[in-house]
Amino acid sequence: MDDAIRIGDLHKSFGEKLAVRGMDLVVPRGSLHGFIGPNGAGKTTTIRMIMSIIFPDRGDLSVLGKPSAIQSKDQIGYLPEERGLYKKMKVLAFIKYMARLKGVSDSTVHKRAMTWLERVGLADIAQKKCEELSKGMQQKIQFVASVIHEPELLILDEPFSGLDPVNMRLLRDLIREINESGTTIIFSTHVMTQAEQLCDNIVMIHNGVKVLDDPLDVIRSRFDPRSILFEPVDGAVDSHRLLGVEGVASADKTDEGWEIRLDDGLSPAEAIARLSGAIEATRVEVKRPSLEDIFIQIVEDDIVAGELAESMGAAQ
Amino acid sequence: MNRMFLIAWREFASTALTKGFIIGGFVVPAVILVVMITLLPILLKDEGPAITGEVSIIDNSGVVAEDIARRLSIEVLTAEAMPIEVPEIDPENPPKPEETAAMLSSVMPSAVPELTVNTLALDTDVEEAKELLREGTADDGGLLALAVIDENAVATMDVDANGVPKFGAFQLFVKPRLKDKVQSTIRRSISDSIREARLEQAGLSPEMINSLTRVNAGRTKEITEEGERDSIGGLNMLLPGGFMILMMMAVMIGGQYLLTTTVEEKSSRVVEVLLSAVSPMQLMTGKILGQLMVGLLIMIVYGGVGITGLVFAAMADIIDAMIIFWLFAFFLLAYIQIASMMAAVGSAVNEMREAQSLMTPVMAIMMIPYLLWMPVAMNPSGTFAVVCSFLPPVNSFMMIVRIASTEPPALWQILVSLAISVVSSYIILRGAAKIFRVGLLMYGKPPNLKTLIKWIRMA
Repeated sequence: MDDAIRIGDLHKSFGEKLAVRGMDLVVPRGSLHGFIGPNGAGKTTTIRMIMSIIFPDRGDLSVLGKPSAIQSKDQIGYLPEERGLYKKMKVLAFIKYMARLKGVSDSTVHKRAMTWLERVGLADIAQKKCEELSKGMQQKIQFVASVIHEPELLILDEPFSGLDPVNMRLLRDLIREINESGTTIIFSTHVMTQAEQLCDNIVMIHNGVKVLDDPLDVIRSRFDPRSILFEPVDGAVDSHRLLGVEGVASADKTDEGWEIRLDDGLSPAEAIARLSGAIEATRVEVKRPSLEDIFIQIVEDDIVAGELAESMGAAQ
Repeated sequence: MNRMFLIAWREFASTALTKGFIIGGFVVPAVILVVMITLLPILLKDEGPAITGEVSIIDNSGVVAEDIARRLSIEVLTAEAMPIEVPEIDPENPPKPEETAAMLSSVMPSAVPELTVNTLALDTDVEEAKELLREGTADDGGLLALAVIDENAVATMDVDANGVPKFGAFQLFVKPRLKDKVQSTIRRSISDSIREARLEQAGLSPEMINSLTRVNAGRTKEITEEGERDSIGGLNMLLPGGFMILMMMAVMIGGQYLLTTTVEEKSSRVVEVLLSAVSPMQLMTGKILGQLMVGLLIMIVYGGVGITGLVFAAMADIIDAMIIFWLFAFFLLAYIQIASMMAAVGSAVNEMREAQSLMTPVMAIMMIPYLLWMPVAMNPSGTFAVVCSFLPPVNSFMMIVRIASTEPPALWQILVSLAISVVSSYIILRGAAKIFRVGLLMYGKPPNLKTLIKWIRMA
């Protein structure tokens, strides 16, 4: 089976600004891909090019086996970052209108709309005007409008913004459910913990360039920060005692206890054994790198590499 | 295609099937029309309370004061105000509402001023007499006017080189803000008195002179296939203007709604959701089609009212079926041009306020037909009219003025103008589509004209 999305050497600029530079990407069918990166990284531009809302300056693009999303718009669901509703339109009418635009037949559109409204707990507001809804409710209506035609590919750009934790969980469960039914999902966010909770694969974009594209567990193992979280029984333990343990490079006090960096060559398992032996502890564990940590590390490395290249250029 | 019509229908329904549109577009104008036809003539005829006061005359000629007093007496003024003949109403064939209003207004006597005329002594100091006019207002009564008639106003020895007598005049002084109608009644009475006195002085009979100089003429009649009717006269001139304004109104209302809905879709951020389902061109075409239906609805309803009025007035034959055909053809093309510009402006801005500066050139274009229709309608075959009807983007409006005029242009001219409209519509639509595609997803600083041109080149 072909991939849901294939992108090769994609470029897009707006005037002087290079929004996307040489992007290569393959999203297999049925996967749940997370697009992460800070605001302005190029995520939305990439998504808009995938959706054929804007067109690349150069590069190859294939969506659901077609050279343009225009040819398969009915099989794509899209919840854009910049989204809204017709304020004066009634909720049910809006969902039905969007469904019809996505090719849902007149005979099934009403039933489908009501089923989805029930799933998101909004069946009782079907006849209300969109402007009368809370932001969270509007968000759920927009989500329904993007999935009502049962797309093969679903692109969600910042779907959780403005949602309370209860609705966030509801939406997260729905996204997982849709993915389990075989729909390929691209989930874009600048809140990296959300991607961590939901996605199998992560694509990290920074300054228009893809800096990471791997399964989440592969990323974590590759970016092992060689840190241990250590919480002593005796709260009065100071850094000198910790630094006295062989193989400890540094010890920083945090809200949770101590974050201990290890010397090169010392394995985390050995370090845990040594620390536990030296000081009685309530918690000793290997600190898992968050996507945020990984992103910051990549950005910092990028800055250092940039400065190095600059100074070398100046020296020449 | 189906999606384009879905968008068009939503656009039409969200605009025309709303209470605001129905009330503002049809109910209110209908009520105004009914009021104008039935009540306005009666209300206009009612002049409010009659003026009461005095008129002083210093009659240096010594012969007209008495006659002026007679002419300004309430009996004479009332007799003048009464209708000449009261129309009879046939119970079998009662008058229509609009006829009733005209009939009522014709038989209602107008308010007659109650004036008392004082003849002042010839040695009265005019300046002193005028002082009384400074006291109070015209509504307070008292002295309203002072007329000073020259000694030689009626009889004179003075003659010019040809031997024609050179008569004196009269001077009228009035209180500030005295009703124009009362002023003219006083002036007319004095003038009539002096004229008749002069005629009598010359040994002529005023009745005879009046009879000799008054020429009565019947109304001009137009002979039509169905019979004859009063000449429509000025309507020949107004008809082209009426057609143009009808077309302009439909174009502007449709275009304005298109601008508003485009800005709303952009500012409410629903546009990107739509673009995930349709292409920008489909969206723009659908919206233009939807508002085209709104414009057509307005034109059909208002045009229908106008034509119905002409049918009732037995003047429907002044409109040729071909005029209606050309009206729709030129409306369609003019609408595409203006609507495309409106859609482009709407897509480029973030809110209505920002649209104002970009709308200025569009509005300037729309003003041109208003300024030009009169000279074109007055001389529809002149070089100016011909040039205007070939000059895009106003040629559609100007050509409909010419077509509806008394001198319709040759068919080849209409077809050339139509071809010019088709080509200019295509060019404007293409340019607008490019701006629409780029502008819809551009937020932030609103663009200026230079930026819009850049977008056209970029897209």
